[in-house]
Amino acid sequence: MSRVSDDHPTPEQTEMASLVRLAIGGDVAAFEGVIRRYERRVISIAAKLLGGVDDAQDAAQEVFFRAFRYLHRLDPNKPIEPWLVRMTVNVCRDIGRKRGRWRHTVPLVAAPEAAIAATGDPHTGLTGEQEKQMVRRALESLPEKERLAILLRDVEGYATAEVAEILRSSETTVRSQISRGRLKMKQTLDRIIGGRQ
Amino acid sequence: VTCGFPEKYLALHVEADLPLDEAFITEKHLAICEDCRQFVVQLAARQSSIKSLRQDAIHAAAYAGLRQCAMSRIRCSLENIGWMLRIERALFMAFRGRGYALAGLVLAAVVSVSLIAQITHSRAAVSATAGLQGNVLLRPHDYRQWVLAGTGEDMENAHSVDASESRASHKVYITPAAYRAYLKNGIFPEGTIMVLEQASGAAGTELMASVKDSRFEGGWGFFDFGRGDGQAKESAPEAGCRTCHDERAQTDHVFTQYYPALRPARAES
Repeated sequence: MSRVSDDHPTPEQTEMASLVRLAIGGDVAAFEGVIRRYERRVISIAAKLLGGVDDAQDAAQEVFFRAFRYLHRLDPNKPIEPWLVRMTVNVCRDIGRKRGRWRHTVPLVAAPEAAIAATGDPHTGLTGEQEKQMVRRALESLPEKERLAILLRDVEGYATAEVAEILRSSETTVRSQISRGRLKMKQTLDRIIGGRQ
Repeated sequence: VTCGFPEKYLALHVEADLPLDEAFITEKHLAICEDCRQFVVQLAARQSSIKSLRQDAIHAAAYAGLRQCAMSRIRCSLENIGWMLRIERALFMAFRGRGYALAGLVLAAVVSVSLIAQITHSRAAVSATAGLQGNVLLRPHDYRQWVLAGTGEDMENAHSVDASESRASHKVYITPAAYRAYLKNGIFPEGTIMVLEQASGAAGTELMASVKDSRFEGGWGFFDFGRGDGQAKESAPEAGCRTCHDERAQTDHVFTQYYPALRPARAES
């Protein structure tokens, strides 16, 4: 992401800021550049929040549609990514609640072939995928705020300050959610996969 | 952990999320506590499991249609932007400052609400006279849900209630929108309807009504439904209620001097 408070923006950040400015002015082609840059990130977060790629595609489409519609609300001097990710969380919350899948998402299941292909070993691959399934279930069992904090910090790799910005919360609050979430995840994972290792 | 050191610090330490002062305390403690070091190792192993979700691969096919669909939807939407969004965009583009733009939006919202309130108010007045067709008024059926302006006891001087009749059986109702408008500014708005109900036991209920409408002489029309359930024609100017209302009613053909609910506004006006 923007990796908060860099004094000197990278060329990529400068280019993105320029695309965002053009898009705010109504340049649709520039906005396509914005989509190209963030589609993977948005769809990846949406898939983890909704538990399925099909729903994630719908969500991502809605996110970019809303983003273009309300782009004028974005301060062009600020990075677009936290804003897009916040919108992704909100859209997924809306979709998830409508479909009754916000609290209990259907786990994102990669095809077994993909897992095997990733490791080259059928046994290792499947074991790794089983472990992921358990981690997903443990993540699912967390309260919403802790789940979002863990997902953004530990799974997506955003810094605590960035998570706070995305969730419009304070760093202290987010830190507390992350800490509680990690302890609960450990407890759950110790219980369900502890004995297997 | 058994030493009592806060686990929440350890949970943050494992990914270097602690602020400097707390990180310092935690590192100092870890240097002397084997139990906590073990806990951190276990936490790190779980963190590694959690991070494995980062590698969840999404097939390229999932992106294939996304951009195309999103762009197609965006292009279509350009032709159908609502007026509220247009105003919002114009304000944001003009001021380029969130505070100013929001202030502008609030102002626009206040003006809109005020306009809507006025439209609703005038609709309420119109709906009150919806039963009036030419000089014929349809008998209102919901008048008992209107505002009770006064009863027979209040109006014995106004409607010459017979001593043989129960005064309590006489009631005067006014349309709610007209009542609110009158209380506000002391003027009965166009479309005001007042109903006099005279219940006569088994014989049934007699109904009379007056409607403020500038088409009628003196600005008010008077209707006598009797016990009928249908409609009533406006009384001839020289007949019935009009003369008395012209002469004795204190405010615009209404006996506000007798109706308790209407007195406050009368006093103020």
